[in-house]
Amino acid sequence: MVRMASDQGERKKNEPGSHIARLTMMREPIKITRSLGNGVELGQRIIDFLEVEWYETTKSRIRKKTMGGIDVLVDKADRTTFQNGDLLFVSEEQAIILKIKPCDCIVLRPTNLISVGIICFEIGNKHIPIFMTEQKEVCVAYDANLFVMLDSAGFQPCIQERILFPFQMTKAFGNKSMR
Amino acid sequence: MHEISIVRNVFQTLEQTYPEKFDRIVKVQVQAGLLSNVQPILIQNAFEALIQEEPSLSDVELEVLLLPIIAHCDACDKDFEVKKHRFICVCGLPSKKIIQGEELQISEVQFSGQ
Ligand SMILES: [Zn+2]
Repeated sequence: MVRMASDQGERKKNEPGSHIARLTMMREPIKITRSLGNGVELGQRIIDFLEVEWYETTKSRIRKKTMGGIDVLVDKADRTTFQNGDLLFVSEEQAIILKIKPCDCIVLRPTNLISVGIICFEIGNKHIPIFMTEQKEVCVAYDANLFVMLDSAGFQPCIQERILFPFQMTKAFGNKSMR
Repeated sequence: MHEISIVRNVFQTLEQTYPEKFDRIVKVQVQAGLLSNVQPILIQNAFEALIQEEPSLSDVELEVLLLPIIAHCDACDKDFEVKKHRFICVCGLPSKKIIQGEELQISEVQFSGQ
């Protein structure tokens, strides 16, 4: 059972609408339905960033403030995944670009093909996406239980801060067997 | 699968907690500790699958927030953040007394209108 956090009671008293909902209503957010490209020439425009976690790039709906404080509403027209550096909005004066936040990752440097196989099988078994880097590393977002498992199996995992790029992602849940 | 039942459970809890204004929910924030065995990407993907089944939820955003692990050191009587899986206090003593990191909870709900 997923419980409500204990401070929810207080928040309930503060309603109607919670202060955040009221604030966002004051001004319509910029609506983003798709990526306008990557590596687009933006001239002298002021660049603002929308920072997201790596696991938010697949979300179809995101309400957030940009780093410059502008309210945006991502409401994807299709189910595409955003990539780091995607242009989300552009006007005469400004542009909003997607930025994926770095996070703690378990980094593995398998020394042989058998290790690659075992590691990918074990992680894939948990349906967690794997990121293969150009340096032939296997990266996966830090998870305490996974780290313990890989460590005790002798794979010598280390933890490093990285950006997990969606285009490097290999996922074991792509077979739509989720329901 | 584990995550799809978690997501369903979140919305069941919300429906019970807010029977009158459940249909005005625009954003739900769920906190998951790094020791909770919950993968945010799988929660997000399970939610995307649920939207397809239940289009009434398509205006709702589900946000997952990861909570860092916090442990308690008895020697210093202080809490410390476990960084890079090091369950060791600044004083050098190890501790596995977990204060935060195992939870999975609904931490914020936003409604439209009003
Ligand atoms: Zn200490």
